[in-house]
Amino acid sequence: MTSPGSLLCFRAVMQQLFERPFNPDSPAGPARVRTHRSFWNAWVIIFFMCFWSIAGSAAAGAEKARRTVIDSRGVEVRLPERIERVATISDGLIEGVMTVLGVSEKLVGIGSRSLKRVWSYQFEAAGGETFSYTGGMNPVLALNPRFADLPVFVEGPAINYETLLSLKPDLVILRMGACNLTATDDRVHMVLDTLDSLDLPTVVLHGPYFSGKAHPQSIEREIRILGRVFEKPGPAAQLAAFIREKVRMVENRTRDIPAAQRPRVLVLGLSSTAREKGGAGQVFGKDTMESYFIEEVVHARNAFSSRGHFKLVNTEHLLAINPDVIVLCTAAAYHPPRELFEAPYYRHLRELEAVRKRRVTALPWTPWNCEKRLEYPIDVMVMAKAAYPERFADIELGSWVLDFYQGLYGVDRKTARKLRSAQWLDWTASGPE
Amino acid sequence: MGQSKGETTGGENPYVYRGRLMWPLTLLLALAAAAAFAMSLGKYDIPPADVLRTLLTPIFSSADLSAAADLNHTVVWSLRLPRILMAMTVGAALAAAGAVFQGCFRNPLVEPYILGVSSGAAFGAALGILFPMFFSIQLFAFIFASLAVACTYGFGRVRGETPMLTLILAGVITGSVFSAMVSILKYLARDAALREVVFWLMGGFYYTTWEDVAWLLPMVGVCLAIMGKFSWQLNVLSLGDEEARSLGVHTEVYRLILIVLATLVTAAAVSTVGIIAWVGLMMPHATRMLVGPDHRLMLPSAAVMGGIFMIVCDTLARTMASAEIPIGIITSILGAPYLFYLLRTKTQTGLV
Repeated sequence: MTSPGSLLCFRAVMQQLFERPFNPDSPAGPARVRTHRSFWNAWVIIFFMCFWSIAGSAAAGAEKARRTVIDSRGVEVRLPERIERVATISDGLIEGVMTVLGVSEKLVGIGSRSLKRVWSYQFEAAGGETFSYTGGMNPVLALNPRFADLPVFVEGPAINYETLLSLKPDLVILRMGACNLTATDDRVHMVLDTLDSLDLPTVVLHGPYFSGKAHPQSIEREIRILGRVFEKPGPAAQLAAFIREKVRMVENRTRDIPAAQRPRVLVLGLSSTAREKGGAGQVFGKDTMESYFIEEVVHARNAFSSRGHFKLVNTEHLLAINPDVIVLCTAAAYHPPRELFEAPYYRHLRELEAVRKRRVTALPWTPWNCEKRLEYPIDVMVMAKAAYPERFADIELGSWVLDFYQGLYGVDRKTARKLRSAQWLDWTASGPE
Repeated sequence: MGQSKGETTGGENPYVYRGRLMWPLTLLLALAAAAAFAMSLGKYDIPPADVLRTLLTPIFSSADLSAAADLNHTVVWSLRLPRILMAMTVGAALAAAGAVFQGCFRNPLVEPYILGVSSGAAFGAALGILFPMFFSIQLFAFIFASLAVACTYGFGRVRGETPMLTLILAGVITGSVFSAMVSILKYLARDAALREVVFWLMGGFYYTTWEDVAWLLPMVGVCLAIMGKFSWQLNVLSLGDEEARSLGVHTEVYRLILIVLATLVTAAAVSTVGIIAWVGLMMPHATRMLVGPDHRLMLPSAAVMGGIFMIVCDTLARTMASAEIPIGIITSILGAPYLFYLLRTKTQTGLV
């Protein structure tokens, strides 16, 4: 490989060697000098050519091997020339982006059991009837069934570094803020130092909560970094733009609603853990992504005006909040509106305005939702439809969700339906699609 | 404790005593074997010969290591060795502390956490997790573990004396107060912090570093040595206060020294690796069944037994699954049946 610079140098050397006027006063005589010089000049040229060729190749190789990317920490991470084996710690965002970019087959190990688990859930209604939900899973598992066979090298806060090494990854990607990576600064440094000592190139992404900004822009940044890592910045930018456009559409439709007409929306987690602790559910304060979606995107009001993420509240507190609209989220399990309407343990909550008026809806099944993932625009649309049904009357949620999956993952309609079922969103389907 | 005055004050048959001296030596060999076996096991496959070579290379040679050998070096020296040393140290600390508490309180059901040390450490750790800007989790845990025991001792002291029953009750009260405060912190914690508190409470060696080993190993070593020095006094204390006083032993002073030492090692261990149950309760029992109730033999043997047990549990925790199994699960699964087996067999042979 010869660069234009080396060609210029080569030409200059040639001129220097062959076009230089000989010394007519030389005792050897002009002709002999010229022959002798030509011989050596030829060797010098060959030497220079070889040198440039080797040096040029080496420099080019080194340049390739030195491919770097700046991660969420602002650290310039040196990447291997070819990325073939990737290990991740994330609850689906990294794996989702890898799926979109067409590199999910490079995944050799995962740090979250949630990516390989199939869930089922049931609850009993007051009349003794049992409702059950089966086949729930993370959409990335539905798209990559082989994830079910991938080794998991993290359990809780414990990373099994030896398992990770045995997978021989040439790149590790961590998403700080994932349920298994919510550690304190000390422990984060410890994890990163250990990975560094194992000579594993590690790209670190910061989820919105971890970065301290409950804003979807953090997710966009993560997507762009992953695009650069896998040398697909264009498709990554398209992905980010697709998600942004879906959110912006909701934002544009609701921006002009006067403050006085904005309903009070409460995102509520009907976690059984909350009940065990004597509470009625978990809510989301002003410092959460849920609140951002409610107030800045859907342009409604968050009914819970304090701070906190999965904040435990009791029945009396919920009755005092008395929201206009309730949006049920994944909280330890899936919670459909019917649970709130019919389960015996929520009989006191049936006094809530939203329950009486049946203004209750449910977000998609999103296991291990410590940080938002690629599917968050569905949350936004579900909230928007619940808050302003008249403004979104033209949007048939079931079809919209299918279109979203198709646009997001580039899948056909049949696969999109599979994804919708995996997130327990079949209730959104009504009529032909 | 069911031991007679004659046994602990030299009335025992000297041949039997000498025979029992073999136990600590045998256990030390077993500890070395367990450590060696644990060094050669791991998810990252390194042949035992390479493990040995990697262990010896930095000691006997300063030659540069190849890339593969370099990785082996990291696995052996940075991942396995500190963990094994930490498991050994924590096991020894908890088992010896359990033996001391059981001796001091003359109660075989006592464990090192009786005076509220675990609740105090848990509260400190939860504070450290929720407010990481002040101190490290470890330091917070150690401070509050020590504070909890200081409170217990303060509450348990009546008219210049520390009656056993009052002290145990004070421990229960202090433990409850700190447990309640942990619950408050868990209630206030964000989901992520809450998860970390829960995992911390489960205990484990997954964050072990050489820095932890460097401060815990010498500290526990020194404390165990001092405990060993007072093992005869512990024998006397375990007879009861009146007998001890009649033998000229100042019960208050020696009990305080031994409890402080046992608390110190427990607090240090718990603040480093979290709360690991069963070891401090079970290992003294198992050791007593092997070497008898004489603390001069029992205390060091219990420490070694604790080290062996913890190394085995931790090795299983890091090798049985692709990820880690919480060590508390393994200590319970292995510990309870083993103790049951010892109880059955030793009781039948009349050794207990």
